[in-house]
Amino acid sequence: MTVDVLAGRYRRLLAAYPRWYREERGAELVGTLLDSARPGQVRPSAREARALILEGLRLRAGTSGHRTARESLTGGLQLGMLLLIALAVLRDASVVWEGSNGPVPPPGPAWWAFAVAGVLCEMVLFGLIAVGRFGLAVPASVVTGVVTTVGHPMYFDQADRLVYRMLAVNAALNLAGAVALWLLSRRLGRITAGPVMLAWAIVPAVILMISVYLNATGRGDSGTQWAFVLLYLCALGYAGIDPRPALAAAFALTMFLAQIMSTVAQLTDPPHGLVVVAAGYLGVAVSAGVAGWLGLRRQRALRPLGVRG
Amino acid sequence: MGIAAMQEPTYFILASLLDEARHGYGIIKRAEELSGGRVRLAAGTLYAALDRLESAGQIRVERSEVVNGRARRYYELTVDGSAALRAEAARMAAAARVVTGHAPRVAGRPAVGEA
Repeated sequence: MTVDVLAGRYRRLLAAYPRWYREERGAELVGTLLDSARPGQVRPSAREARALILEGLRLRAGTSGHRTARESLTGGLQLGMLLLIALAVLRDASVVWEGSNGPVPPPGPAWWAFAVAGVLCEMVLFGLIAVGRFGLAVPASVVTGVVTTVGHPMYFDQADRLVYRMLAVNAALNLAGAVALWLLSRRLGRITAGPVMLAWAIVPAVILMISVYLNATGRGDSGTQWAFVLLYLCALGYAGIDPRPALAAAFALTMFLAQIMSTVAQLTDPPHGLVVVAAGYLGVAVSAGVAGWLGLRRQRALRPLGVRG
Repeated sequence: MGIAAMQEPTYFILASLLDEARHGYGIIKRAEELSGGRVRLAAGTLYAALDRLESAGQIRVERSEVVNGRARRYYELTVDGSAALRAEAARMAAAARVVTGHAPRVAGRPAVGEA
């Protein structure tokens, strides 16, 4: 009877595995767990439970097998780029929406052309990177950078050099990311981002946009800030299963940091708060990078004998 | 970059299949015995390793059966797996000879055999 109780508890832990795996290997796995159990044992040991949950989640994430450092780095960079582009799409789509629904009419038809073209270019770039067409993503990133850099200031009806420079820095960073992605992927072929990776890109972008909206409308955003902290901690913890979200967070935060630093460099008297924010971004980016690196090491350790990488 | 070294658990999983095909619990017990108790595999870890080794062509399922209502699969080494295991053993033996083939020289004292 105790065996049945223990078997039931092990079967519940197997919920961490995908259904197809449970159907194929579940009975055998439970049999081995019961063979390993002490006489009279009714609860799964912490060691067995931890291994089942971690390996099940790794299988679901598609990271249970060996992956080279290049594959994981490319995946992390791909996810980081998707996150930044998703943010840009949401931000620029909201600008278009405000242009058509806001109290202040947009400057003119040229603005509309650039604003809509910018969103479309970003969506194309997102799609190309999501399906792993990194070679095509490089020229698409150049076009997107030109369209958004020229088009954005029109909305604000100003020719402020700082705005232009910030946009140019943003475009240059995105181009550098696209080129790095293309170079890293040259030996790997096409890498398509799965639904889990797309969720890791889109969910933080949506939360950030909600945060910006709440701030802009004076409703505060403590909830979204906590959601961000939670997402960040999830990415760190998830690095033990898949290092790509942590690597992506490190990459995206480094991009934000570069943008902030380029702004600080252009101001004669930068506000103290901006420097504090930059230091905060640096700390978070480094911790995400370390978590991603530890995850990479675990991935590399999974290689079977004779496999290079 | 040279050929990668094998993780100790993987080495002992393959080594446990040297003499005969074994099922999951048999591999766990044999790996623990061969490693002098150092390698204690959790079942989840073992099956993840078996999946990787099977997809790398280093082991395969020899037979399946049900014993006392428990499903069991017996795994055996493939030719590739056996060759990989022996290559790893030779690599470790060569590494060991670097140390065991030399007389120890302790700081402040000449090596054994030196004047």
